[in-house]
Amino acid sequence: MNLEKLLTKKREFIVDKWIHSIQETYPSETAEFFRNQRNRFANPLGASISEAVGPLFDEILNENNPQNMSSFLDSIIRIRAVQDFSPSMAVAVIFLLKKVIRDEMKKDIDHGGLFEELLEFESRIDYCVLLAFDVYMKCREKIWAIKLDEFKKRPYFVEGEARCLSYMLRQEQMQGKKGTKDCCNSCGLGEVR
Amino acid sequence: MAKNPKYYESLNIDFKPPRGNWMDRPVNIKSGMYCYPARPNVLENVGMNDRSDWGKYWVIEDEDWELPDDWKERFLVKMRDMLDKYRTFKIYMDICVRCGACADKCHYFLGSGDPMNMPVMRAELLRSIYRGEFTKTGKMLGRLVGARKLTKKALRQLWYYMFQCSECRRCSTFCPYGIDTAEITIMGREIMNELGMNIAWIQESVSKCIHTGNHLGLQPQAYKECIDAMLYDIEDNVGITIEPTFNRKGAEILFVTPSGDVFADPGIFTLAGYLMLFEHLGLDYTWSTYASEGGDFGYFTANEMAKRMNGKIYAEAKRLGVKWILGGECGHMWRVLNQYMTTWHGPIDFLEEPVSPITGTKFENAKAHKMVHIMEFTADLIKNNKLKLDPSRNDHLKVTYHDSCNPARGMGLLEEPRYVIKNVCNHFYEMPENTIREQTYCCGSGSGLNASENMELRLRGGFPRQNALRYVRDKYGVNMLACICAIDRAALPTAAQYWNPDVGVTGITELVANALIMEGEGPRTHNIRGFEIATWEPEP
Repeated sequence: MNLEKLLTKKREFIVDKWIHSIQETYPSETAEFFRNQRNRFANPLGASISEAVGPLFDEILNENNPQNMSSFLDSIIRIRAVQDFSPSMAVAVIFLLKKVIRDEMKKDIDHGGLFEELLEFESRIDYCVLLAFDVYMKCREKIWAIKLDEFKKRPYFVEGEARCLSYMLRQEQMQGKKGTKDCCNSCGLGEVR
Repeated sequence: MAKNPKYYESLNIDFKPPRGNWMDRPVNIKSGMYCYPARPNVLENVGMNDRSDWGKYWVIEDEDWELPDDWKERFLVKMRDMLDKYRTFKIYMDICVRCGACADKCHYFLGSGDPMNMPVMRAELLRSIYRGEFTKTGKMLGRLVGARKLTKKALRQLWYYMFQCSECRRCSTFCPYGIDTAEITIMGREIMNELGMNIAWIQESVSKCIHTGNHLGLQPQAYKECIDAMLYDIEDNVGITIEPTFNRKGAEILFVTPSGDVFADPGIFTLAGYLMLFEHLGLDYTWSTYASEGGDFGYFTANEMAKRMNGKIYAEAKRLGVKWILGGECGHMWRVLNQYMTTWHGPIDFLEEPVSPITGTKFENAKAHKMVHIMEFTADLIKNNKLKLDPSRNDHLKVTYHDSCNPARGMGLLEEPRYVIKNVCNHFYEMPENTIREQTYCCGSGSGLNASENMELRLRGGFPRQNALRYVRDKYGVNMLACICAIDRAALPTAAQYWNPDVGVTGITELVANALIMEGEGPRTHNIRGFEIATWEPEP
């Protein structure tokens, strides 16, 4: 049996394991909650992960269509992009599929001599990680665009430093560190503390 | 030569977060997850403690906050004081059995997956200090009974998470003991005020509300100019000239609305709705440039501040000699009015029990605070056939309704907004049952957390609401989210940009005004946003 057939046969098992290991990237109390609460509105985060992982696996296995993959990845990565994860950990969940397959199908691969096929399949996973990175960056850029948009929507009569973008960015970078001025104050709007 | 690992051994990276007792976990304060600190001068000019006596700079992400020597004493004295003063606080500290009913109800927990955002855990941050510093069992048994001493780390943790609660009270709905977790947050924040640890978004607003009347610090002229700008728009799009009055003594009704409606998109169109509705009715009412803020920003920081700010509305009502007050689409203003106001300022004997001058309906529910919600008022008008409405003007909209937390849970206003929407729109769809009414999810930015620098927290917190919204968007093609809170109107468009980019946000009175057939109106080809009705689409 070749690897593709083997993976198709064990699909449910692998998808479950993959979902489980994604849940495990959250603190233990949260992972437990993800598993127990089935209502998708009471558990939106758990639901968006578990609903996207299955179709994503099928896509990697069969079509490998980047557009479809990106839309499933969006459900998983969009929320991770605003959570406590570092960028690498936000997209690392895709690599977990490799670990699941290597751990769970060790025997089948050894006996069937499927290393080459495994390498080929893993390159598909690598490609998927690259797509995940694109999704992640798109989300992060969106966050900055939203911030800027909020700033631009500020009415003209707002007073003082809140009107000065350089002051705000400076504040963002410096966060009030000692010995630094908050802003160039060339516009005369910002206050130097 | 080093041994080559087997292929199945090569991925031993641990993706799991650290485990163990929550008291031992590190406190990692992350950029994008907190609001900038309040500047000493804004604290000082409303008579609150500032940090000027212990170092001017407070870098929140630094490990060492350079606290003054007596910080612990100050904190504990204030806490003792509050435990003695507020019985509820003492009870909430004592009675929680940690059953976990609230644990998975918080939108910040559901969005972040951070167990410290479970309401029980957030309260436990303060409760553990209470046990460790104020109870005998806690002092003796320590961690065995969930007690700990007040340390610098505990303070960091407490501050970080007290500003990750939007006081929406969804968790309280599920608590079998009725513990109001929002009040625990309020108390926690007030105790930390003693160390001058407050945030700019709240304190700047408080200071401006106290000095000029509204949170942006609009002077009376600017306030009037903003409303004038809307009057020109109404003239263009509706063909009606309106001349509202300001600070007019002897008017029957004082109208108070959050100042967000006066300048911010899309709240400004709700304001246009008020103007058109009142003009149509010929209501004897006045705006006030002093009581020009419905929102009680003091409520986010300290009891005394909340009291001062709420008092301004009534002082102005007394000065103008009005009979009663009509309140706009505001959020926590209504919780403050219904649950705190009479304790602070009651009885309000200089105002009359509100009676609608159009329908004669007595608003008995407003007997104590003499203030009627615009939705109650409008629903009553529609019920008595006092408004001519053409809901087909809103036919391009598929509307869903977001129960704003405080009117829903703090006041019980559940049916009136729905009744009004159903009468002014032909397409109305509810979001799933466990995300509306008493169980409504917060917009994610309430209680003073709506600052731009706090964006990641806001987007996480907004996720459960947006998830429900996405469901009705996909299922019914919903393209407009109606709400009755100014913070919602500021926060939901931002959250929607990230989660549901093709859904717009509106106040209900805007929908009413668009459907309202006014006497002498011109051809209504454009809605009050100035878009052609037939081709209108929500802004992305």
